[in-house]
Amino acid sequence: MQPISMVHMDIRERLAEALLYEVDPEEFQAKPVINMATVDDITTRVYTSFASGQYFETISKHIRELNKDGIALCLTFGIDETTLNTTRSRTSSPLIMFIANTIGKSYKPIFLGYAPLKMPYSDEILHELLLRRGCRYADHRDWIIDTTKRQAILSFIEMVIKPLYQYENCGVAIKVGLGVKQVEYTAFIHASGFMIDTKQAGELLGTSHNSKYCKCRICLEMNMARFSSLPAVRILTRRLL
Amino acid sequence: MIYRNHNKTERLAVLAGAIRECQILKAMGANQDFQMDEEMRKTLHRAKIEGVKGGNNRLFRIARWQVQRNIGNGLPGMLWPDILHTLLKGMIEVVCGMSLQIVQRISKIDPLYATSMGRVDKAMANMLPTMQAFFPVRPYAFTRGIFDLIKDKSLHADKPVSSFMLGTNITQDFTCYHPTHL
Repeated sequence: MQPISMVHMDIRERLAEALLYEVDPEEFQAKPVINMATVDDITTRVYTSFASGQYFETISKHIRELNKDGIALCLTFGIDETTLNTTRSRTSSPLIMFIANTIGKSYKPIFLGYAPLKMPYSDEILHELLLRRGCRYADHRDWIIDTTKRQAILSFIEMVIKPLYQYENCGVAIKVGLGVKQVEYTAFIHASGFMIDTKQAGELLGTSHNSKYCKCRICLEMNMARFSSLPAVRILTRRLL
Repeated sequence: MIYRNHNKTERLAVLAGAIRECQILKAMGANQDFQMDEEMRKTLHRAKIEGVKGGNNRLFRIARWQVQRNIGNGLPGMLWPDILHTLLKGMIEVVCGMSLQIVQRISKIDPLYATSMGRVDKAMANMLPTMQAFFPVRPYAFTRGIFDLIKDKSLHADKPVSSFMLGTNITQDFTCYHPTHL
């Protein structure tokens, strides 16, 4: 059997490079930004960036219990299928990372690697191989093939992110920016977001809106993000046509 | 709103995957002692209706530090809404598609509006400079008119997108250029 090939770079190296060369220390928010506003006698929180959110406030509070000078360095990961050339003949699925603490021009994607998109064997060959092993039912073969492909992508994502797990509790010294503006922190690195679209969510988690039940990936209510299937739209379209 | 629970979703995925594996192994001749009971059927059904793929999903491990300390909502809380496919390719596309379908049908029903399709096409042709489409949306010239995109066959199909393909192109053009042309 041929192995599944994938390409990735060391996430620690990429993160250190990005913090040093691509992040402006003035655009790096190390501490929570709490903005409150009063509108019609109601005081409410104003969300302007990731650091102004309650999640960052809570995680920063936990980190200060571990180390009073420590800061939370939150990362957001994203994976999507994209084309590599203008004729769209070659596709791949790059894994990228954003530093959530940054704002403005410093908030930019950091490339980490290409996840396996094309498998060494076609579905027909895999069906044939499984059939020879006694897997008689087509839906069973489909499940095995789908699960194996999914596990390959999931293993890749975990393999790339895993080196950062050691800094969740212990922290690491980081340098942000170059020159006189350079700032040093003890950062506790955490994966805080995962940007995947509907197709990727369907493939990796199963939460596809195209399925019969079409549950939202964040909540458990029906049709929360599928406007086209709203009963009113459906009925109206059918009546009109 | 009922949010997904990280631990429950992970447990459901692992259980559903294990049951499915046992089912397949039994069908292949191994693990003959396995008997599917009502509880297992319910678990598989729950995984199906909750939209959870069975198996050991390694993405759940990414958020374990936060889950142990009750920060955020684990993996379901880490996922962001898909704005492109929800708004542009979802609601806006459906609204544009439905509006064009209304114009198409009315032009066929009422002779007074027989030229409305041609007028819309003409306006669209003048409105869309071929090379000014927004990246990464490829430039597309509607040489045969935009009504050619409406497929009569799929009008009655139960599809999430209302019989209107190339939605991203056209909805982006609709929203980014001047709609007053129409």
